[in-house]
Amino acid sequence: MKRLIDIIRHAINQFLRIYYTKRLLKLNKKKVFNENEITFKNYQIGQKRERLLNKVDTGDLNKEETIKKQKEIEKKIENELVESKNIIKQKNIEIEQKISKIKSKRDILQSSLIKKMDIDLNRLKEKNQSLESVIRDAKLENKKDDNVQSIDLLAEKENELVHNIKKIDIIESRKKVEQNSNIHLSLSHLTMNFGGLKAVDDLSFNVKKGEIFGLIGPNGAGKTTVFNCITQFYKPNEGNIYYNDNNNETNSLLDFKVHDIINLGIVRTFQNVELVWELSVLDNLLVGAHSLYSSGFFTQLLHLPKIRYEEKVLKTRALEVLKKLDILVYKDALPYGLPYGVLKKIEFARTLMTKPNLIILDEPAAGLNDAETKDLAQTILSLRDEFNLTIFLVEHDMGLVMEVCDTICAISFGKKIAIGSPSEIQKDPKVQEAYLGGE
Amino acid sequence: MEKIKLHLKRISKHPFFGFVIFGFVLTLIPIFNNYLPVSFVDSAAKTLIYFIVALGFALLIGYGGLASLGTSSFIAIGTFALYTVMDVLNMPFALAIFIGIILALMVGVVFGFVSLRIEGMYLAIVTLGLSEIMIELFKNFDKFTGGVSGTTFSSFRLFGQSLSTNQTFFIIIIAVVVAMILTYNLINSPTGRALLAAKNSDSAARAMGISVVKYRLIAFMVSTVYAVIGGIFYMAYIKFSMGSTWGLAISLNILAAVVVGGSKSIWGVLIGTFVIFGLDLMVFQSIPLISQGRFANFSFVISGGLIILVIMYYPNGLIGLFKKLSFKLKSKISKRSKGETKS
Repeated sequence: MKRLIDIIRHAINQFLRIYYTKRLLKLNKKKVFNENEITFKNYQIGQKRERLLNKVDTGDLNKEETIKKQKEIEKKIENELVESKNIIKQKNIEIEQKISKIKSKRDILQSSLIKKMDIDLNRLKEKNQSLESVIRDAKLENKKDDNVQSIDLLAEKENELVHNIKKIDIIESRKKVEQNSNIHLSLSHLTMNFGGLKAVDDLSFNVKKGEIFGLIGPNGAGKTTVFNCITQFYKPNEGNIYYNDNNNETNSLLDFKVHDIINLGIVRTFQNVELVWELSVLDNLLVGAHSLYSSGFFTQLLHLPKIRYEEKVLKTRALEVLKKLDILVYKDALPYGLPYGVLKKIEFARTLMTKPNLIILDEPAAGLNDAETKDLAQTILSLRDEFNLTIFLVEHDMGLVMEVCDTICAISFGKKIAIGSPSEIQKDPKVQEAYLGGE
Repeated sequence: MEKIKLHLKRISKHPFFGFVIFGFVLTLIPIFNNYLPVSFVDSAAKTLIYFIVALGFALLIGYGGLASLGTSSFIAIGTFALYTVMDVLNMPFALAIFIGIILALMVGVVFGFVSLRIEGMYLAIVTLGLSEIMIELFKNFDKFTGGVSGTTFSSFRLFGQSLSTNQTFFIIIIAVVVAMILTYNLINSPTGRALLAAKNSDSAARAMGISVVKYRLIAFMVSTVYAVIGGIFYMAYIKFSMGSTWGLAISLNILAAVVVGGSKSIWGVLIGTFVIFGLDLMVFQSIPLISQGRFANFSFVISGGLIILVIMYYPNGLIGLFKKLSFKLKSKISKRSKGETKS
């Protein structure tokens, strides 16, 4: 009975914790929107300034008067700018207050979760000790007489031991990730089965903040499955994925649904370009910014000022992103029929709309020619530096991988075979064997 | 003067301008009621009512990519809701709208949840089954629906006053314009884009933070609300509704209207509804050669042939043809004006 109550309480705690975390993420999105608002205001007021100055500058008036008027306008504009910035600042302060309120509520739940984790950990460790002693005894006995039954039992116990050690490691790796804010994403003993097939088998690695991490492997090695596990399209059978967001809070990605992942600051692209073909390029970017809209259904239905304002703000952001990627000319075109390199760039631009921290690229160079691939490598590098991104990519094109990646992890049949810098991976005999085949 | 001209130009470029003008053009029908045949006015009203329904359905199939064959039963709900509230319970019209919308939302949620599991053809079949169940239910609740023989609506009252058919027509026109404006808002909002994204690729939409569940439910709910509102106006104007008439045929006709016209354009849906529902009664019946004697049913053949031709040559709907024509016209005009400036 007591255990049942415990389980129910834990479930309620878990639910509330995730609910509060989601609220926090939504508020964070509002902050991102406010950042966009500042750039929009700058742009808008800049335009207004030009318009006013043009009005004054008719040429006929004597110069002193025009200069006087111009100065007046400059002053007015400056005031406006400061005012709007203050309003946004005020908004941000309000959001911060809300965040701290919710955070205090959530932290209580979080601490109870950590307590429970500690209890679990201790229990597992005790169990392991007893298991170890049982196995030791059984081994001593086995030496005396070869009993088949006892050998089977022994194997079972040993399996359980290994399993428990894994569980302990999964829980402990959370603590490691929590303490080390340099780690952005951490996979711990990730295992994914499809029926009898192990697509990903006991895979663990860490992605550091600000690095470009490459995942390579022969066809069917399970690279895309790893991606789908991170973005929660698949729920892994075993293991956990931890993620440090930009506020240095550790979240287990398994707590979230697919459409919540973007709120954490993780965006992905797809192997074959997945754009909305009926919408213009600009609208496609706005689809990417979907999570930044906060207006409800009826606001949209009646086209109230709030949604109009949001559209304007996000459109300026979209134009800014398009400009940065040099595809501004295509803004009103339909993506259907555009060159493949441009489509890839549009998809890349779409991921940038929400100001993410981690971008997951699924074979960005697939289908590109050499020149386009080189261009892509340049864009990836420059964008990483400009937006402070961490990039995690899967790629077959070894040239691109060796050029851009800081760390490479090679997997084969779902298992990690090597991890290290590009030059280390190139020299690794196991990698060579996996790609070229053993003797 | 210059300022007024500029202002007018800006207004004429506003997307709602066309809708409002269309509404004003429609008012000609009730105004010149006495000079028009009765069948023409009635079929015009019917066409407009079906246009409201088709707008909701276009959102569902064109933007959500969800095929449903349950539309007619939603219209039936609207007709019976109006009858029940105003004739049986003697309550005001506003309550009928309120109850109709609540019923629509409930039914929409049920259909929407079905759509989460099933897609495409199979969804169409399941919704067909659900609507057949509802029709059987209508037959058996004779207190509210009149049972098998159907029910007649006494008179449409608004603010305690009984309205003539002509006045009802005006109200239908207002509803049509409002429906067009709201649909336009919705398809050009994040909701419309989210629906399109979910239709294109479920996984990409979810990766962009779009909850596919939520938007599918919204699409179904909006389309049922439109259909129920259409049903309410149908009952207010035609004043007769029978459970068994709201079968597959009407659902299919609305599907055909949306597909023929072009499911992604409001004007396209209007053209489609006119071709399917209005062309026969409003145009062919008034031509004496076709409407009388041996060729009495010939009009159906014409509209059927038209549908086949459109589907063959304009898979994106008749609106594609109109766009092409207007583009050609525009380029011709601009060429001519250029020639003038050169000479």
